[in-house]
Amino acid sequence: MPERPGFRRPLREDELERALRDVGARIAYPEPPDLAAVIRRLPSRPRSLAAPPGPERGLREGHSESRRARLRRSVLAVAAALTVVVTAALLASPAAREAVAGWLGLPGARIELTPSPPVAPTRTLGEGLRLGERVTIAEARKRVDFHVLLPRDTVLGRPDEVYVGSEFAGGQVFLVYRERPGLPRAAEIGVAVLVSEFVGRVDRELLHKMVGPGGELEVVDVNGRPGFWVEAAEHVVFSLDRNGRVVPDTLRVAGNVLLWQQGNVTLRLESALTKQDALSIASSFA
Amino acid sequence: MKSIRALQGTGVDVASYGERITPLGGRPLEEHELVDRAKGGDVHAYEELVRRHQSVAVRTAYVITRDAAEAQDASQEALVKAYHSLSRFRAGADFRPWLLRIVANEAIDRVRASSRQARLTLRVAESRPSNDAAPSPEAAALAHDQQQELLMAVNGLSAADRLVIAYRYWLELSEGETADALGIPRGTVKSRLSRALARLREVMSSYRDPGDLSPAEPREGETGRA
Repeated sequence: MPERPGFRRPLREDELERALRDVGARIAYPEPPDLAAVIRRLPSRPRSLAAPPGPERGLREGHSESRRARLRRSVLAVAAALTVVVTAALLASPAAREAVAGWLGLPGARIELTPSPPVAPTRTLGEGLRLGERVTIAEARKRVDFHVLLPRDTVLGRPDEVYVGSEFAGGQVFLVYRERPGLPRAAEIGVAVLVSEFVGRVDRELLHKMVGPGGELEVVDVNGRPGFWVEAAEHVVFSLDRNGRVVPDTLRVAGNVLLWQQGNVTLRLESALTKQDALSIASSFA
Repeated sequence: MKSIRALQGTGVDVASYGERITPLGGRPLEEHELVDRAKGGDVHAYEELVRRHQSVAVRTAYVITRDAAEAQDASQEALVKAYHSLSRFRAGADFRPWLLRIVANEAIDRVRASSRQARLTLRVAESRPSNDAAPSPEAAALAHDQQQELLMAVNGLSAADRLVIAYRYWLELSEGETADALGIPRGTVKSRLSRALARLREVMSSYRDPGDLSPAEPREGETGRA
């Protein structure tokens, strides 16, 4: 077994904290959101409601500012300030929000919380699953270093879509199957069956720990070799690629997963299928 | 108002902190003044408020979503929602944890509603730290594979565990801010954090002592054909 990378002994508390801070400083965070886009979505309201009235506000009659006018201006300023306070206090109830919007001369002003915009429908099955690049089977076979296995199972048949990912050394292939009679849709992945293939090993100890409470991990026989059946658990699979590198293969599922190996290829089948059906499909891969 | 030092490393744009909206005299507006103005419908005041916190907001979202585009969408949506919720912001409270709570909720909702969480991971920047500061000697000492491994272990934690670690070690929120941002009593931040660290250690210890599904090395010449 190749020497394992990373930490070779448990870290002391201060070491762990320091290591975490160091890693935190190196995370590739995204850029902040488009602030202008945020502001565009806010209801526009006159700034003078909040700010004291400026000189541009002027007076109704064009003569120079008299003492009375100055007094009038400060009354306006106080009124504006009061309006703000009242607004803030009253916005709690929807009826009051409407009333306040009316007083402000902004009937129909959006003070309500807006619901999230509807999610655009996906155009391909694998879109949104971040599987990598969509290719044909023939292309996938050229792009990865291992022999891509396909199921002979007649219900499953040919994959509806094929993707090539680059997370693993040697590549990773995904086979995507849409729902059809006998193949229910797995809500967690939005398709019926997702098969992933890569060269690597599944870390048994880690898998046990990751499945956690509520999840079931069972060692099963797939074509005479050990496999794992994981049911109804939110879990993460860590795999070792052929260079001994730990690759987190994160799944956020409440569905069922079958993991097994054929030769040097690790296969993972995610679905809403029962164990028996999953095993039957697994035994048809060649 | 937070000190500038407290903002370093949090993604808050320190250079522009408090410089944008100034009343006639030039004194930078305090945060509570900006909040008051924004509550009154002053979009410009809100813009300034958001400018100060948008980086920490997107980072918080990213820790949860682990996807850059999703984090940007979540934080943008949260910033709009926060504006509409300003009436519920308690006067005198800290704005940042209040905002982060909205951001985190939005990010969590999106994660729940989406099937995209498969295979998403936090990533380390290729060459340089994500802020412009030079790496500390400790950072330089932490080998790349160790960083990767630690981050992988963090990836293996629940979003809640990731968030408390991020708030305390990555985004440098105080204990009080962390409590407010997580919506938990201040007294429980320490125990929440130590539970997350214990789980992190567990993941890391399993790296050192892995079990195998199969013979350690694939046999030479094996093609994978059944």
